[in-house]
Amino acid sequence: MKSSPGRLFTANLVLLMLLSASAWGGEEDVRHWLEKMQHAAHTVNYDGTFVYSREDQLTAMRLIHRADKTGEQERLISLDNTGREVIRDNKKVTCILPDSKAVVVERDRPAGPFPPPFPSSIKELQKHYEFALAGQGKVAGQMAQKIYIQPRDQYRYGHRLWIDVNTGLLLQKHLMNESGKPLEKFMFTRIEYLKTVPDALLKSQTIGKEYTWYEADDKALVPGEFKRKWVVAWLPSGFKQDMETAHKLPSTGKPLEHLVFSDGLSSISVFIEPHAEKGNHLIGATTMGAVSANGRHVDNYNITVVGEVPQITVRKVCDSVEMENKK
Amino acid sequence: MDKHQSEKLSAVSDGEAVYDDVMSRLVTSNKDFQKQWERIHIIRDVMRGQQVSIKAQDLSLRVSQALESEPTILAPKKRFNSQHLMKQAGGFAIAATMAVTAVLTVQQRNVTPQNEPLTVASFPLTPNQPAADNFQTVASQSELPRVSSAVERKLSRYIVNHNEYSATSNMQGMLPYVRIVGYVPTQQVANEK
Repeated sequence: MKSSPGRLFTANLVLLMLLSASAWGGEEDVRHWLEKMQHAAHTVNYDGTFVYSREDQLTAMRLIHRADKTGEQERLISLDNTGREVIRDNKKVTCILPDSKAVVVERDRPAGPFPPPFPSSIKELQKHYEFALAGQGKVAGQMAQKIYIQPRDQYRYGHRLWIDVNTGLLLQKHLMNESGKPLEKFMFTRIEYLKTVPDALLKSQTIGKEYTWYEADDKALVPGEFKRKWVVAWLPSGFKQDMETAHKLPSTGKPLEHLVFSDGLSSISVFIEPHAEKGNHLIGATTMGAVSANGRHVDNYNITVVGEVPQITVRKVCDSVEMENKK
Repeated sequence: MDKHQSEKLSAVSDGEAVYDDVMSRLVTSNKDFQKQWERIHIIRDVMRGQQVSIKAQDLSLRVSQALESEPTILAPKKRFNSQHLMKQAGGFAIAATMAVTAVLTVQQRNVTPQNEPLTVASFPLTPNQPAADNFQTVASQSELPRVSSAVERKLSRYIVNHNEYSATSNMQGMLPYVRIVGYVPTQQVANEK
């Protein structure tokens, strides 16, 4: 049977409508999954074990998370020989380091709305990343939605996410380099969702009298102490300033300025401190696993840029940092 | 432990080689071998979804060993009474401590500005790829030499503070801290200190 021109036109129109609906639906779906993941990271109670792979390291860890009307509490425990732990609540991050018999307490980042909203609109992110729903598969016995995130330029890394279809928890993640190779992977191998999390699971059993305690000093923050203003003249498109703060270095008492920029998925930190000690400042490019860093001198200051982005990005950002009054 | 021994250890763990007398002597006489053996078995159990528990006495033993074998670097040793005293060490306290204990592998190269071609990172979108495929990762810049330990310490501080404020932390909770907790010091790094 031959198709009449009218029937062909109608079929094409239907196909066009379906494709349009599919594209629109995909965008909505991606936003739905990312928002669900963001929400779950702060609201789901669970106790899980996962493996983390980076370069030649493969490490097993346990992660326990509790969220209730008082806020969030989390405990991350290494299952290898170090016995390290990080415990975090609404006010502080406690780092337990058996290998240096120390307990170190840092203040948490400034409190915001709870749970925190998804940091960026999907439309903004789509200017810089391509999103794709990539089917479903099982991770740790849970059905997971796969989302592949591919950068549109060479200034950011790609992500592959596996999100629990029921709870929204991120069960597996790969960070991909510029060549599409995995730089870093983590994957839950066991996950138990809990109605309530007992206090005992969130308390360390390792702290002894021998431990030395260190706590961050609120008074150490010195916003505005810097008399000079710094300008970051180049950032990848879509990166905006998230935060600016200042710390006092305990070793020297001198201020250190910390600027954070983000496109909603990736972040870059710029650290600026007066030059004090010889030989301990980074000049040039470095890597720490998936984190890239670049440093240089500007007059009598040391500039260091770090972020989970390619080397080229931190170098270009670092090269663009200058004093405002020099312009 | 040389590369051949390390590979044989992995092969035995995977059931691809026999646990013979030579292997037995290595595991019982070499501390590095014992640690590697323990790590491989923990990770294998985790990969198989088996419950992994670290007993309190194991951790106590590790802490005791650490106390005996490692000098206090960060600060003079403190004696405590009935209460834990909080030492004011500034906003970079965690980072400074981590810098001493978890010296990360840092690599450096000279940077020569150049015009980079605009290349879009790409990876195949394969919807039905198994979730638990191989767990291999690549080095970021494997050809880069190390920087000095002093630079490593400073960078460790910076990265901890970067984690605390990054968008990734906001979306994924504790996962960025995995890089701190999961760091395994290597003998090579320890020898450099």
